[in-house]
Order: sequence, then C-alpha cells, then structure tokens
Amino acid sequence: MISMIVFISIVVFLFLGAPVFAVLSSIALFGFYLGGMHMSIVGTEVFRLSSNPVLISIPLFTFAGFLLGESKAPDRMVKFCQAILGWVPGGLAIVTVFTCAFFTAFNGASGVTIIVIGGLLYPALLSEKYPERFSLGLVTTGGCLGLLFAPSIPLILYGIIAKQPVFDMFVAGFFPCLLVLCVFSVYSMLRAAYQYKIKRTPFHFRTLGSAFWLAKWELMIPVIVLGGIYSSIFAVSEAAAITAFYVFVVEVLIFREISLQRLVRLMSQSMIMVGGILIIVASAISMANFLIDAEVPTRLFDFIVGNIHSKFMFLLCLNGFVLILGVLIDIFSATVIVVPLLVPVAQQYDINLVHLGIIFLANMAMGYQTPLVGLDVLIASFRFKKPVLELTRAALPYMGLLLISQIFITYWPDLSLFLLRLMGKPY
Amino acid sequence: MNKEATQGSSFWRFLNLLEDGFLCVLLLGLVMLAFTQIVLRNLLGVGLVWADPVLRQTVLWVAMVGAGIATREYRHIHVNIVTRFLPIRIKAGVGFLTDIFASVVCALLTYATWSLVMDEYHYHVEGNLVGSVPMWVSQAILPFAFALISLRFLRFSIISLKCMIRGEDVSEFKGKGEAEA
Repeated sequence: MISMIVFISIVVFLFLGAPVFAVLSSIALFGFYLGGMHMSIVGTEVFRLSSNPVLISIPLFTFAGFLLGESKAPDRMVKFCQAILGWVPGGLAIVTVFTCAFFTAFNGASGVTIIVIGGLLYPALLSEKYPERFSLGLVTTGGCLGLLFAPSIPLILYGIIAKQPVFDMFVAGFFPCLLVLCVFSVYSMLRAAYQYKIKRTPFHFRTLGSAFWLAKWELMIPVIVLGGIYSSIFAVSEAAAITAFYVFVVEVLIFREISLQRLVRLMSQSMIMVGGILIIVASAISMANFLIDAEVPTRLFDFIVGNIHSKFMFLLCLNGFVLILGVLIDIFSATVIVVPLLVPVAQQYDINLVHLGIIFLANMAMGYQTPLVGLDVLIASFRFKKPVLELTRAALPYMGLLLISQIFITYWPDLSLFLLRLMGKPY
Repeated sequence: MNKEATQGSSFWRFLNLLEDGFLCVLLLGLVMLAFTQIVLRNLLGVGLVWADPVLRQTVLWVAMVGAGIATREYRHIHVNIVTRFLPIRIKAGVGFLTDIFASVVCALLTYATWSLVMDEYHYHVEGNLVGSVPMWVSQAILPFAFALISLRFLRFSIISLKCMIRGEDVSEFKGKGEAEA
C-alpha cells in the first residue's frame, strides 16, 4: 500500500516537471530499498554507463552537429541544393525538405534545424512568393524530418536500449526516411506548380559548379558518414570520431567561422544535451533491473497479449499509444522508459525489433508537431514570432502527410528491412 | 531579484568557468584520442591498449559534467505539458516541490555512488583502469557530480520559493528553457 502511494507520487512528480532522470533514479532507489538491498547497487548501475562502447558516438555526433549548425555550413548546403533542385517545380520547398533532413540527422530533434535552416529558408520561400502559411508549416515540420537518417541520436539510442546493432538501425531508417521526404516533396511540387504557380529558376551549370565548390567540404560529410558506415569500412563509433574530427577541422580551422568564445559556448551547449540524455540512460538502466524484479514487464506482457489478439491490432494500438506518448514526453525519455517494455511484447507478435524501432521513432517524431504543445511548434513560434495557433494550423497538412507515411512505415516492414536483407543480414 | 540571484555569487561563477573549461578539455580530448586511435588502428595496424577504456571513462565524465552544466542552466529534460499552463505563482510553487525532490534524489545518488567508490577503493572489484590507475579514480566523478547537481537544485528551490512568495516568474531566474535555447 505504502509503496503504491510512493510510486504514484513519483509519477505525479514526473508530470509536475521534475527532471526525468531524477524521477527514474528515485524509482530505482526506492525499488532497491524495498528489496532490502544496499544503495551502492544503484551506483554500480549508473557506472555501467561507461561499459558500452557505442555510447561514445552520441557525444561525438552531437558535437559535430552543433559545429555544423553554428558555422555557415547551412548557407553553403542550401545554395548547393538550390543549384541542383531550384529548376524543379516547387524546387525551393524540396530544398527545404532535404536540407532540414540533413541537419536534423546530425542535430537530433534539438530544434537547431528550425532555428538555423528555417531561419535561412523561410525568408527565401516568401521571396519566391510561396504563401506564408505553406512556408511556415514546411519549416516547422522540417524540424522532425531526418530523424531516421544516420547518424541521428534517437536511432543510436534505440539500438543501445533494444540491444539491436546501431548499424542495422542506420540501414533500416534510410528508406522509410526517404519515403517521408518524397511524400513531402511531391506534395510541395504539386502545390507549387498547380496552385501557387511559382516561377521556376533556370538551371545553370556554372552556378551549380561554384555552389558545389563552396560546399565541397560539407558535401564530403555524408560520403564519410554514410559511405563509411554503409560500406562497413568503419564501425559506428569510428565514423563518429572521424566525423567529429573532420567537422572540427573544416569549420574551426579551415573556414575559421567559429570564434574561440563561441566554440566554448557551443561545446557546453552540445554537452548539455548529451549529459541530459546520458544521465537519463544511466537512471533508466538502474531502474530497468528493478522493474524486472517487480515483474512489471511480465505483467504488462500478459495484459497486452491477453487482450490484443492480432498483429494488425497490436500495431494499430502501438501507433495510437506512441502518438499520445509523443505528446507527453520527449523522444529520448520515451525511448529509455518504454522500449524495454515494448520489446518482449513485440516479439510475441512476431515484429522485428529493428522494424519496431523505426515505427517507434517515426511515430515519436510526430509528437514534435503536436498542435499547440509540440516542441517544434513552440520553437518555430519563438523563432518566427508567430502565434502558436497559427503555426499549428500551418503544420496541419504536413501532419497529415506524416500520418500517411506512418501507415506505410508501420504496415510495410520490408520498406525498413529489405536493404538489410540485400546486405545479406538475416531479417 | 538582482543579478546576484540569477548568476549566483562569485563562488558559483568561478565554478561555472571551471566547469566549462574542464568540459572543453574533456571533449577535445575525447575527439582527438578517438581519432588518433582510428588512424593508428587502420593505417598502422596498431592501437593504443589504454585508449579504449580511457575513452569509455571519458564519455562518463563528459556526461556527468554535461549534466552538471545542464542543471546550472536548468535544462534537464522534463515533462512540461502541465506546468506550461499553470499561473506564475503556482508554477513557482510546483517548481519548489520538484526542485526539492530532485535535490533529495541527487543527494541519495551522491551517497549511493560514494559507497560505490569506497567499495572499489577497498576491494578493487573492477580491477585497474589502465596501468596502475585504479578504477575508483574514474568512478569518483559520480559522487562529486551528483553532489553539485543536488546543491544546484537546492539553490533553485530557494529561488522558486522566493518567486512564489513575491509572485514573480521563475523562468526569468532559471535560464530560458528549451524553447528558447
């Protein structure tokens, strides 16, 4: 009875805004206390943070992402994409979609994409006579595109928590993410060409050449990261180290676009994000053992398996559940708390765990666009000085596109898995 | 409230500087060492034996120092769906409760990790980190970081309490929050 009251009050603290790591740790501490064990066990669990060799890729990729966002790399990338895609109907909108995806993959969903890329492209879209609402919705939703592209932190984290190879997660996310980008591109193309009748910019080889030359250093990054990882030359953690080092050399030493003062600031900002995520991971690890002792996963398992009888129904419920979850909490906390509980259940319904991760993360990403309270909506409201209600309305059609893509991602496992099979993996 | 309340006394400011500097050293060290190890391993076929364990411990240190700075700027991941809609005074009151809660939990974690370090110091469960450096040296970051985090939440709880009494907006004194970061 007392333990019930304590647990309920801990959950209340979670929703009152206590730090997630403190809430999870308190469950672990209280659980071990109930079990009559010494508290130093919690310490041991926290220390296990240093035993995972993949974890190093999180600070390294995050650092690289923040460096890219702080330099003039977004400027150069946008110019290059414009030179390639500008002549297509809806060209600038498509450029927005792809550059947003590129930067979100590196920054995670930290809002940097909206602030930096949105800040660059929103005025550009308006000056090409795209309507305000269309453009606002696009740059707002852009903040969650690309979460399924390597090397995004949520993919790495899911791999660690669900004990799936991070490499497989990177491969599996590629086509689902591409699907979302294509859906967005086609939608923008149709509206730009038929509804808004946007004037197309002519294609010039010379412009492309000079834009390519300017962006050559940054264009090497996908080659190193994706090429290196996908061709299995580098392990994920090695690719992270190379990326961080390379981006540091290019942006700080070659372009000299980041002053020493801003570099120090940027380092602490990026590690605030990393520290915030990893301390939650540590507390979740220490909580997980207690949950298993208390038979929480088995009880949940019995409950779900007893009530949901088909795979189809389970996936439908999963979509609905994660959609609500995405409204309530952020992608990192959700991953460390919910994924360990989901894994055994999904296995019962014969769902591949890599595919489960893609479903889960794509679904969680939609939470950023939640009307009125989604993080992307709030950040965009701050950045573009528009009321939240207006942004919510602007983002609605894109939310619809995300939902349609989600159906394909959920019920078409091969979209995620066929590339892995092509590589000869047993999926 | 005056500048002193938002930024803290010279003690806190000195600590902030120290933290930032230390974090930069750790992060740059992490990048350089990881890169060196890859170059050595892939081009020369030799690796530094001590590099991998040291890298893994550095990740822990970066995480803990980062978490300390996150506390300083009040940027720990939290659920804000309820608090967002609360009136200023109640928000400050709720902030007081959650800050005290976090402070107590971190104090317990300080104790838990301190016992871990002491156990390791006496019994050498994990063996040595590298060479003759024992593992407790690396573990020692944990109690220090948690103690600092606990103190910072205690400080925030006092700020929240003051804000509640005066009817001021806490967010002005706790950093800008994630939406404006």
